[in-house]
Amino acid sequence: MTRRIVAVLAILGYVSLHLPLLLLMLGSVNVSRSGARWDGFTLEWYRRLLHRHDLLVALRTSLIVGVVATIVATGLGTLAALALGRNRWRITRAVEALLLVPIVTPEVIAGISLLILFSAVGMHLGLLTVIIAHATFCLPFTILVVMARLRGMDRSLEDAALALGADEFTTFRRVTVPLLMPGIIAAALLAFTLSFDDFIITFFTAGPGTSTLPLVIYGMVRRTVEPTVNALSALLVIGTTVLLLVAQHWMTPERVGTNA
Amino acid sequence: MTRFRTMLRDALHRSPRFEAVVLLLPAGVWLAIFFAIPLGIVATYAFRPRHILGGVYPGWTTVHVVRLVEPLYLVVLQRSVLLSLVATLLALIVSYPIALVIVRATRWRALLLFLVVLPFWTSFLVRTYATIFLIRDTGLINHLLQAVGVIRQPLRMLYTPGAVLFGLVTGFVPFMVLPIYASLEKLDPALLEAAEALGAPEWRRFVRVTWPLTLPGVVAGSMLVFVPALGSFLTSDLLGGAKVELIGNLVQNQFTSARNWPFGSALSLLLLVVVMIGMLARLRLDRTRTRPRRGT
Amino acid sequence: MLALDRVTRCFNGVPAVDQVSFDVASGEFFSLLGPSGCGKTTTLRLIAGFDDPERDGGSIRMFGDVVIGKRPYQRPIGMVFQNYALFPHLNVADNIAFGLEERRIARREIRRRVDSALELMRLDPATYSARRPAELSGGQRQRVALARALVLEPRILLLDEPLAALDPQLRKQMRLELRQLNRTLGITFLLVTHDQEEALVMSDRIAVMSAGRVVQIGAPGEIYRRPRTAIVAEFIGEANIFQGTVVAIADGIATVTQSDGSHWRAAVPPAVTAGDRVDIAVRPEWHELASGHTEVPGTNALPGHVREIIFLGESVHAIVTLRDGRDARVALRHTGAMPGTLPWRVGDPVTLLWHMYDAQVLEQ
Repeated sequence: MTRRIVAVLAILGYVSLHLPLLLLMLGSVNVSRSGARWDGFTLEWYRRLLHRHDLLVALRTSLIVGVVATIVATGLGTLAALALGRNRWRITRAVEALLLVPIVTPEVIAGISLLILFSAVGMHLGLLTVIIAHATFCLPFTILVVMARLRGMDRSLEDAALALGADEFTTFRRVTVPLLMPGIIAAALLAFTLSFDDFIITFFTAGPGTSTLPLVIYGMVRRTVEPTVNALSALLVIGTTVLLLVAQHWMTPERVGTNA
Repeated sequence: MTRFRTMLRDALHRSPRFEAVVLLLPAGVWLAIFFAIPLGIVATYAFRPRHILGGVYPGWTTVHVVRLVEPLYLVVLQRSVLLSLVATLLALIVSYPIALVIVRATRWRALLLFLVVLPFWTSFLVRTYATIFLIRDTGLINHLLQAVGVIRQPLRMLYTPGAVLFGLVTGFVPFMVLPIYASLEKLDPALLEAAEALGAPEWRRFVRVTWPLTLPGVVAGSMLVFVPALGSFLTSDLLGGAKVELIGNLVQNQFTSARNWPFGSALSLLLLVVVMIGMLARLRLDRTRTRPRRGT
Repeated sequence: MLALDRVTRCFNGVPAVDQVSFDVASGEFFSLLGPSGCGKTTTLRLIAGFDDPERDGGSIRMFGDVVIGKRPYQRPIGMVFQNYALFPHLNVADNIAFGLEERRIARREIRRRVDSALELMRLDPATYSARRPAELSGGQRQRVALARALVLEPRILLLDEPLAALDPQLRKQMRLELRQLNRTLGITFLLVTHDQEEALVMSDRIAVMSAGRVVQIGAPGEIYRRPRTAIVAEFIGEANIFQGTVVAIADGIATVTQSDGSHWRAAVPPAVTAGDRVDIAVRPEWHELASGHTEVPGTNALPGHVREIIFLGESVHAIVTLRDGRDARVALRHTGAMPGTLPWRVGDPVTLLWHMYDAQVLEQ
């Protein structure tokens, strides 16, 4: 009896998670403009996407922002993780706890505080401000992910390299970094996805002409029920699925060689 | 080059503390400049006179902070907190069974987990938008209800508080499922067998063993739902129309159409205080649960 | 009392427990002994009720009643788990009270019984009641796990590798305590272990299991002295195994020929008949060593030379290489002599001797 209730609730949960996405996909290939009923299959809305120059520009902006912010956040995050993951002093634990503050701060607040900072120092809102904003909210996450990997690593391997005659730099380059790589890649993937999907913080820190894809979608969604937005959204969902499948394939324990 | 390398190496490794500081410095400085300092500025802006075009004038005033306690805004705060709490509770009611089903599954486990991870990674904006297809007047639910004959006229669901609630719950369910799943997976099955051997039937085992031991996952998941729900404005914007105003929308308005940055800052501080109260409550809970108790 | 009759349980079509039968008497200390994967833990879980045998997979009775299909808490059992399975979120007193609370016993009565269970396990209630499992040593956790199972006054106590997580010193001490507990309480103990010494020290009877089957059931001395198969002989203690062919059997003693034509005599189980190719097991401590090449009437003898002398502390072992090139291990009676003062040195010619009643022909 209990099991049945659990199963019913779980099914309801899965349905509410996925039914909207399925309906969105259907809507993206539906002839009907309003999507009120099924009028037949079409790829017209996808075709129209190709003529939307503003979308291509937004996509380019999103990619540039995503890549640069990911590099900055992953780089800084890895360095910080090396300091935090290896030591268990009271001060590093305090720093770790402090990292949670940016993570739990509502995005609206992070967004408006950066807006205020940029306007106070007279920075024009543009590509640079968006990149800075994205790198900032990704940074705590990359630190946590790399740190988790570092904690699961067998530290005696580094000692073994040192005992075999490698100096600290060589050991770092040839042992620590390769072992840490899966964590770094995971952190970078997380950072890129967070950046690529972010709407709220970008909303406050983007200037005219630096709209990212979510900003353009938001604009389209608010204005009309334009089926091209369905096609675009469906493409994003499909893209996420494919990336996730690829990532899961790549991050399997055998490939990664986990020794946690 | 080699000499430099040797010098650097010796400098770093003579003191692990020095090395740690060097490694932490870039990220620390970055977060100080782009997170901590801006928050500090927000705190001061809440007490500055308003500039009509956005921004502030020099000088100090408490007018914005006083305005916070006006009933108009207290109602919004109350509504936001209430809606976020209910959304968290509903998300828990849906998420715990999902996590249980995943943990108990054998053959389908990977697929079931993937079906939670996928929405976790999918754009929140797109998922919120997709919800419209389900609940709008010409959406699937209304179609089904009309086809079955339960209703004649389409049920108004979009642009209601219920729609916002539904959007928040489905939007954040993956954030709740994953921590609960993680803590369920760590649960030693021998503990449940021990409880069974000691006479506890299935639901008693849940109440006395499974639930208390997965509580950390539940608390973590609840924070991951409650905090973003409280600060959200996208969901209420898209699914509530302009009718369901939350504190997130209020903040957003002050920085866009209303151009009242100091009041927006004051609202943000209020929001931050509520979130921090939640965090502290959680830390307290953690501490009382893990602190060893001695004596009777 | 506890009776298993041809109990079978398969996983993916492969039997993990295969036609297992045994009876345990009231108050007996009974052990299931075998290497990992032999089916002993599965058997225990079937008895506890966490799992049930196949349909038509035999029966399990407790005090005359068939218990198959009953939940664990509907059976008169208590259980101690391998890693104790103490609830980490509950303190010692609440752990022990868990089962009593499920039985809706009055609070004051619960408190009284928890305290007396702790005292039985020689833990001071005032000191330990409020501690969490994480604050206890391994030995203390073990005692709490026992108290938690015993407070419900089960008629059968199931113990799943209860000493595996303890350090060797403590393990030896707990063996004796468990044995004494079994005597004082008068209830049945059923122990699952892979540690032969543990089973030998504590049990009234041992069932040796291998590949899902019970290979031999008997008192520790009987199993040690008269192993029925090579598996039992080699799993419990050490054994030198020789091959031969039975030529005659008289009064439970077989005459066995070797490939080199020599004749031995050895105790033989009823299942073996003349003409069988058999293995013969001899424990290292049943051998004697004599210098040079000697023959003693009534004893079996094999010539060889000393290859290695091993000092083990409480005894000295010699490895003797026999003429056919195989090694045999001999435990020498140890009278405080240092290895250097033994009458033999590495390389010396010796004769391996043993009495015919000390050799055991094994079933194939």
